[in-house]
Amino acid sequence: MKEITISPVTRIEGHAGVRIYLNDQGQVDSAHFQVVELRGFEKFLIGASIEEAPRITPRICGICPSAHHLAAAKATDQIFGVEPPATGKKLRELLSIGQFIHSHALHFFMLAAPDFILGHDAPAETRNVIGLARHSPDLAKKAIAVRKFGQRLTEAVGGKPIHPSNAVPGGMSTALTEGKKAELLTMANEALGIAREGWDVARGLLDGVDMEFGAVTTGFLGMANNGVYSTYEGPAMMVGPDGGQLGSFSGQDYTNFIEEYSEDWSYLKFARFKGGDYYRVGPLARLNIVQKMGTEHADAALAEYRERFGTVTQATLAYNLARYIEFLASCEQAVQLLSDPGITGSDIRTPVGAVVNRRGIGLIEAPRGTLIHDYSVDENGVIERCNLIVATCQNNYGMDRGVEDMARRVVENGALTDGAANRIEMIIRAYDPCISCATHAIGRMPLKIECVRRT
Amino acid sequence: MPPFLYRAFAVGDLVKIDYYIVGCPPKEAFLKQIIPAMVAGDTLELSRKSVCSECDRIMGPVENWTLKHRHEGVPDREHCLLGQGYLCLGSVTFGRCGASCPKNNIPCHGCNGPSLDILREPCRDIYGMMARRISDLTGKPQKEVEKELYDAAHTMYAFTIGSLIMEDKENSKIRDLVKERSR
Repeated sequence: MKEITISPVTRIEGHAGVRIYLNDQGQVDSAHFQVVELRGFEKFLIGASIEEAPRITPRICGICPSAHHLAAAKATDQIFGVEPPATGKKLRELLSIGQFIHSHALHFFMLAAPDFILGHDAPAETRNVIGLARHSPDLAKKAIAVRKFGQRLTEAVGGKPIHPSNAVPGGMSTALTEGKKAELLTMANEALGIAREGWDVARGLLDGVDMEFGAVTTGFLGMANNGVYSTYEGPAMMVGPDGGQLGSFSGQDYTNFIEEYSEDWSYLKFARFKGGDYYRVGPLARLNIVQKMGTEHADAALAEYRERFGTVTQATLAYNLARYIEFLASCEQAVQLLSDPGITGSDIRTPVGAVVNRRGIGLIEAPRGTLIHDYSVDENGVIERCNLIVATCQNNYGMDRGVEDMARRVVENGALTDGAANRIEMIIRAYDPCISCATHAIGRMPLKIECVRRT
Repeated sequence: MPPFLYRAFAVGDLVKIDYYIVGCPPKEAFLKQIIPAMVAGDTLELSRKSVCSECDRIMGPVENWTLKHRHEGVPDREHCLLGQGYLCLGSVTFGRCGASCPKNNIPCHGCNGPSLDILREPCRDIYGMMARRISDLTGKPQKEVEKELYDAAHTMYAFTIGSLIMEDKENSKIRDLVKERSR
C-alpha cells in the first residue's frame, strides 16, 4: 500500500482530505474528496425555542454567519406568520449584501488570487496572502479595504461584524441612523470604485489557464427574482446542464425537487435532484441561471463573461470570475440601498406572538450557494426537527468528481509534485467550500491529500 | 473514517490556558487592547464587570413582572430588558463587549461566558443566579421565578454547556481524566 499525503489543503474554510487510489502501474484508479469532521447543529437545535435559531445558527461559521442568521430569521417569520415591514426587509437585504462583499472579497483576493497572480507552481510558502501583499501591495490593501467595508456594513446593520444579532422574527431590531447611513454610503462608493478597478485584474486572471481543469457536467440550482440576480428574495431555480429550465421551488416543496444522501467515506452529506441528476450551486450556478445582474457594471462584466464562456458554462475555474462579478454587483447594490431614503425608516419590525405555522423554511443565497433552513416546531415553538442544506453539501459531488479528474491529469507514476497537489487544491478552492458549514450535521478542511496504492 | 469521540471538551478543560479572550467572537475593541499588550509583554488591567456595567438602559424596581419569550412584542429602548420580562443574560455574563446586543434592542445571550462571580464560586450557576436577580428586581419569590424560566439549556447555557466549568466545579472529573492520561 502506498500513500502520498498533502496536508493540510490550505486556503479553504475548515478541514478536508483527498484520497487518491492508485493501480499497480501507479496510475489513478479513483479519487475522493473526504470530510472527516462533525458539528451536530441539526441535532442540538432540537429542543431549542425557535426564536433562538437566528442566534444559534450563525455560530455554524464565522465566514458566513449572516447567511445562516437571515435564513433562520426567514424561517421564523413563517412560523410566527408575519412579514417584515418595508425597511426591515431592506435592512435584511443590506445585511446579506454585507455578507457577500466580505466573503467574496476574502475568497477572491486572499484565498484564490495567489494561485493565479503568483502562479500555480509558486512555492507554497509564498503562494498565499502574505506573498500577494509583497507581490502586489496595492491590490492587497484594496482587498483589505473592501473586506473592511463588508464587515462594517454587517456591524452597522446586524449589530456585530461576526455572528450578527439583529434579525429577529418579524424583521430587524434596530433602525439605521442617518449618520451611520452617510458614513456607510461613503465607504460603499469607495468599495465600488475598488471593485470596478479590480475587474481589470480579475478579467485576465484565467487567461492561459486550462478551463477543462476539474471538469464535471451537472445541472445548477440558484435563486433568481424574475430572472434578476438576487440573494434574499425569489424562488430557487433548477436548470439542466444545458441551461434548460427544470422547475423551481420556494419553500417546503424543496423536498419534491432535491434530496440528500450520504456516502460511507465522508461525513459531508451530498445533494442531488430528485431523479438522481447532480447539480452545483454558488456563483457559477447563479450566473448560469440569471438573465441579468440588475446593476450597470456587473451587467457589463456579465456580458464579457458570457462572451467568453457562453450563457451556460460547466467550467469549474470560472467560479472565480463569477464570484468577482457577484462581488461587483454587491458593491453596486450596497450603494443603491444606502442611497434609498427609505433605508433609515422606523418600520423595521412586525410584532409577533404565538406560533402560527408548525413548519418554516428559510431559503436564501449564501455566498457559496443556496442555503435552506427547515424547522418544525411544536405548538409552543420548540424545535422538533431541523434540516440545514448548505452550499458545500450541494457542491460535494462536483468537488469529488473534479478532484478525480484533476488527479488523473497530474498524478504520474504514483507521484504527486507540489504543483500537482496545488492543482487539485485549486479545483476544490474554486468552489470556496466551507467545511465548517457543511459538517453542521454530523462533520475538517485544511485538506489532506493521500495517494493509496490498491493491493 | 475516524470514529467519534464520546464527548467534546472545551480547550480549557484539557489544556492550561494562560489568558481567556472572552466573546463569540471576541470583540475588535477588546482585541485592540489586549494583543499589542501581550506582544509587548505588558500586564493589562481589564474590566471584571458584567455586561450590565456597559449597558445604558435604566434599571429600576418592576411590578407585575412576567417572563416573555425573546421574540414576543417589541422591547422599549430605554429600560432594562430583564425588567421588561425578557431573559437578558447581561447580569450573569462577562462584559467587554460594550453591551452591543442590549444596545441593539436584543437581550444578551451570554456569548462572553459567565461573569466572574459564577466562575469563582462553586455553588453559583447561571440558572440560579438569573432566578435570584429576577427575584431581586421584581420582588417575586425565587421559587416562583424558577417555574417561569424556560429552555435553560439553549437560552442560559448556549455558550457554556460544552464546557466543564458548569459541572461540579470542585470535583470536576476532568482532573482525574488528565491525571490518568499522564500516567
